[in-house]
Amino acid sequence: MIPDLHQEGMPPQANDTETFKAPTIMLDHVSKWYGNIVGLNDISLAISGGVTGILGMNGAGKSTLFKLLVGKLAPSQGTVRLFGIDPWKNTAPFSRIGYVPEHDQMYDWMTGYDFITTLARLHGYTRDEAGEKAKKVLAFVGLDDVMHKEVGKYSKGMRQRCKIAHALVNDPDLIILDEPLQGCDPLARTTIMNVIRELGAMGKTILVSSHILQEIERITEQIVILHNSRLLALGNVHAIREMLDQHPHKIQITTSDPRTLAKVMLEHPDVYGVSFPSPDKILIETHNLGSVHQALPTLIVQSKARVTAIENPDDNLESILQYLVGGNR
Amino acid sequence: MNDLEDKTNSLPPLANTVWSRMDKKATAITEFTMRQYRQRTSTWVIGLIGVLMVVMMLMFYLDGLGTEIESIDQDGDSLDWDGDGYPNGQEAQYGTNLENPDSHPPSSVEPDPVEKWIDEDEIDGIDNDGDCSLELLSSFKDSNRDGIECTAPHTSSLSADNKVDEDPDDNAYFQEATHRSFILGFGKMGFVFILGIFIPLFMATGIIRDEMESETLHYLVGKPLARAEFLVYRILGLIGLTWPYIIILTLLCAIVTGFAGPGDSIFRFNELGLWFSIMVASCLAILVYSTIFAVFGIISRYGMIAALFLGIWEFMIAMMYSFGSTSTVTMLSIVFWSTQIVDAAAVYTWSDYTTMVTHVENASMDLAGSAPLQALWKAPVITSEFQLGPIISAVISVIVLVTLSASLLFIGQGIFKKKELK
Repeated sequence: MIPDLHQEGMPPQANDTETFKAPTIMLDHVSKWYGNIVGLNDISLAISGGVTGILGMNGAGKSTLFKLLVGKLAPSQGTVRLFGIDPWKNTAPFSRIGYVPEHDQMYDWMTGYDFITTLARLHGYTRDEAGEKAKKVLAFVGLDDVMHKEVGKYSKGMRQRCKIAHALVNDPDLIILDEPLQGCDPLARTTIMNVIRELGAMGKTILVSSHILQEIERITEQIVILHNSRLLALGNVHAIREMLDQHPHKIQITTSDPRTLAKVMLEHPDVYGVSFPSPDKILIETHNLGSVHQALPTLIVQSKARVTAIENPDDNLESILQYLVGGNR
Repeated sequence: MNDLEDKTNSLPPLANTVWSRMDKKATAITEFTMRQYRQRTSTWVIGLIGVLMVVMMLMFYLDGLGTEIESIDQDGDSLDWDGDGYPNGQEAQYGTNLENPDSHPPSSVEPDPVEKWIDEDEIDGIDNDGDCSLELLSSFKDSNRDGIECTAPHTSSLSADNKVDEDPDDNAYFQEATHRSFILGFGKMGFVFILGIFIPLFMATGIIRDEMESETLHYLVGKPLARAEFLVYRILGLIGLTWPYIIILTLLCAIVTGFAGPGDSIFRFNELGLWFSIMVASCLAILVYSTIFAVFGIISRYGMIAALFLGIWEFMIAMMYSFGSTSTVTMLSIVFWSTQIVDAAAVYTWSDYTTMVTHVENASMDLAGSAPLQALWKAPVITSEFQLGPIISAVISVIVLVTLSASLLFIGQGIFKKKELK
């Protein structure tokens, strides 16, 4: 297992109750199963402050974790605490959190402004207060020009931003975003990532889930990896990256002149192997994906070969996780 | 003066108290629920079907009132058995022999036209044509033995004086009976039962379930607001739409039947109370059914099926009840308690109602319009069994219905609180 680099929230001592502040999120040996299916298996976690990425493949338990935190599900075992309060039994902590669900469904007949105002009023704001706050958060996510349009007419990225805006309306201390980048185009991704980074800079505790490592890397350094319902790793993304750098990577290049390109490639110090899976393709093996990717354009120009495609056949979370699991056994 | 100002300034503004904060959430959810239903096509379809039903029934009603019934001589006193030109009724009045042509009233008396001895009485328990008082023996005059001669009783336990109310105006009776049958029949079956059960069936079953299925419930319950409260406000929102709808429709019917109803008065004001009772009964029925169906919806996605079963049960009870069953099983239904309210109000509105029904029944008269009238009204069970006034009966029914919906709501809250949202 990767050492726990950023674990916080040690149990308080009896004599320092004054200085004790409950961690924002605290899970103690939490398990959740649905019938025979295990959703989460014995997770212990404490997070306070900063942006934390929750990384895991689909079905790894990210959404289950979030639903336990926002009181939609009751843990089968263990205790869940939000600001020191059990969210399943008490709705009080919800005034301090904002939750962006994974699903895309919204009230399509409402305008973005209506949607946020209505939900803000559930926090106890008056109509006017809610309206003002809605305008503020819509401007924050960059939707102020379309706020009187119906949500049903929004693009996917706009809907995601609207959902995020709704979670910010009560000025929460903890923001939980379940797959906020899923299905968004690159432009929307960048906008949403900027929003999340900005929120992190404001000192809020943020949990972002994703199944794409590169996405999370662009937002935060602190990550939690869930795999097969278990907590696989928790810590700084660099530590995990370093381990991944030992992991052999493959780059597949489709080219008109594989032999010349292969020759040039082999001169690079980090490339330790080249193979030809088919007449017009070469497969480069490396331990340092980053440096090879950096040198790639120069090398291609140098070889004067015509390149039609560059692929990373195993650069997905599944293979990374397989490597992490395998490497630690 | 300054002191007072200071004091008022030091008081926390109302907007910051716990109650007003809760209130804000309540109005927010209620308002949201109403808006949500308003933008759904299905809501408008259901509403339009209801309006269509009411308009159609009113058309049938107006058409029924327009029908003229030919008068029948129920007691046969317009006949002239001996052919002397004087109808039997007139001869009886003068005490002459009905079967002897030579025995007739003095020639100075003009023979009455035949029509005078048709429809000469009314259904009012009073001997309008005075033929009861012509009886020679006082035991005949008081055959119902209530101590007063020539009266019809208000209870069916004794037979009526047979010459009281014996030849009523058929057309007037028919008009009045049709009018009352319509109010009772349509009020109880149309409003209290059909609208009372179908509106909740289509609108309340999904009040939580639809949100669960579409995953939008996550937005609503992830807020600092107990789920139990949320359920109450949600149902309140539905009530905020359905009750005004019922109120408008009952008012429409009250106005139409009030103006179009038979009688000399321009408007039948006394029936406004009856329509009010129909309004209250339907609103309460909607409340109870809405709560039950909402709870069914929370429990399972197949809640609609359970709701349909309950609907069939209620329909069977309504049928049994209107076929005259007095079994206590009928009490195990919502339709029983809600229709009781209307029955009780009918006693108050139409004090001559029992006369109109029972006397016709006892005299075995064949009056057009009496059959539906007999079938549609029932003495409120509690009133007749425990000798309580109809108002008590109505109040008990209201209490039963309100308690029922409150306890169902309580159960629903408990279930919803423990429901995991996947």
